[in-house]
Amino acid sequence: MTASEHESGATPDPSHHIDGQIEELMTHYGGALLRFLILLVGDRDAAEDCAQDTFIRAYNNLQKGRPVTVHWLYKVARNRALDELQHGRREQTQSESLGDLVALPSPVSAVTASVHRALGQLSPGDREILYLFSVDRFKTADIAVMLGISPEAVRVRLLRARRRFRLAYGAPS
Amino acid sequence: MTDHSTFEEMVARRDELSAPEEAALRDHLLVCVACKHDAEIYAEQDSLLRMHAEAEPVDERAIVVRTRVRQAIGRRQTHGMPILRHTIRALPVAAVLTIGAAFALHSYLPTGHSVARPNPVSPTQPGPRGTPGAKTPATPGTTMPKTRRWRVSGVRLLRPDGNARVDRRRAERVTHRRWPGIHIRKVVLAHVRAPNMPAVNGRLCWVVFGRGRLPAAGHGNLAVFVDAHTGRFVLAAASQGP
Repeated sequence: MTASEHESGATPDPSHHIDGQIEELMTHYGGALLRFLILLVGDRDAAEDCAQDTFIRAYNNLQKGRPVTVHWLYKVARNRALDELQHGRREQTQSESLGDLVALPSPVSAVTASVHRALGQLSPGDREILYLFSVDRFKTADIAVMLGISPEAVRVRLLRARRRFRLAYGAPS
Repeated sequence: MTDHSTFEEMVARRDELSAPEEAALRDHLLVCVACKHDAEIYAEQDSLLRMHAEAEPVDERAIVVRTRVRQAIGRRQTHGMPILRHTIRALPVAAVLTIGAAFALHSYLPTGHSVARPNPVSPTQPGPRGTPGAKTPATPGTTMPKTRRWRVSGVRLLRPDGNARVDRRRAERVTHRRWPGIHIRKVVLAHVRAPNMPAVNGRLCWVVFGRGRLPAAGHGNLAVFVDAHTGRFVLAAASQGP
């Protein structure tokens, strides 16, 4: 998924049938959304549930004739993930520190493991903003729509997240 | 005039800068060692984060999600078609009646096989028919007595003797992961008695009944046992019920 795709392919073609549209959304954004959710909630099964709920809500929206954009998908997925995190806290099934991300599948390189460890030390808020900007390559204006904050606030948060990640990763200052 | 802090912020989001912004930043980097260093670090961060994301294999999970969404949508569409909906609702009833008739017939056969088979020992359940001390005889013609007892390939499911540490949804998730496409009909918490299956014998399990693909036998009823303490899949068995 590239930045140009975000710009051009955000809204599905309305001429398609709703089933086709939801398939298209799942094909294009399913993997990226799952990665985002896994990073956010730190639990692969819970991330699957969140992704499933997100696409079902997208289907409901399409049925009502409302558009489903990539911003909408990420926003709903993120809110669902936050609910999951709060639920996890209540049930204490999550580890106490949300920084404890789910274990990486082996084998992984030492570098990837270090990145994983560093990400684990960040808050979900820092992780999500780094992921959305660096991995999914959304622009700060798009992220602002998803998070419901101003672009300026996104920029400030991005800079802080980068600094914290830098410290956690152990880069020379 | 742009101050240093503005350039720091621009360095952090360099990928999205406009051409004039990029030009201004480049001029600044020629004279500011700190910002130049930051720019290098952040560029490396981006590549590290992308590498980390790619290390997480999500293709199979994305397929599972797609399958589950399709099923949910399919179920909803089916529920929107009255004739088909009534037909589908009637199917489980027909199945229950058929199984009930089979059980009733089986119980009354004069072979002694079903009478001789020991029933689960539970203080909360009626004993086997004809056994001294039995509280209530099973009602002829019903599928099962009103106690929490099911027959699953010779496995006995008894009333749970404790509380589950994982919830029912987790058990369903585990089942869906093992059997993508399974149509779950019922989930029960039970204490399992299965002397021939040491893996589940004596365990408190979520038992997920459903219909799905069985190895080398097409589709059929199955029961999936998920440990109610750990949430781990234990085993699956071909099922007669519930």
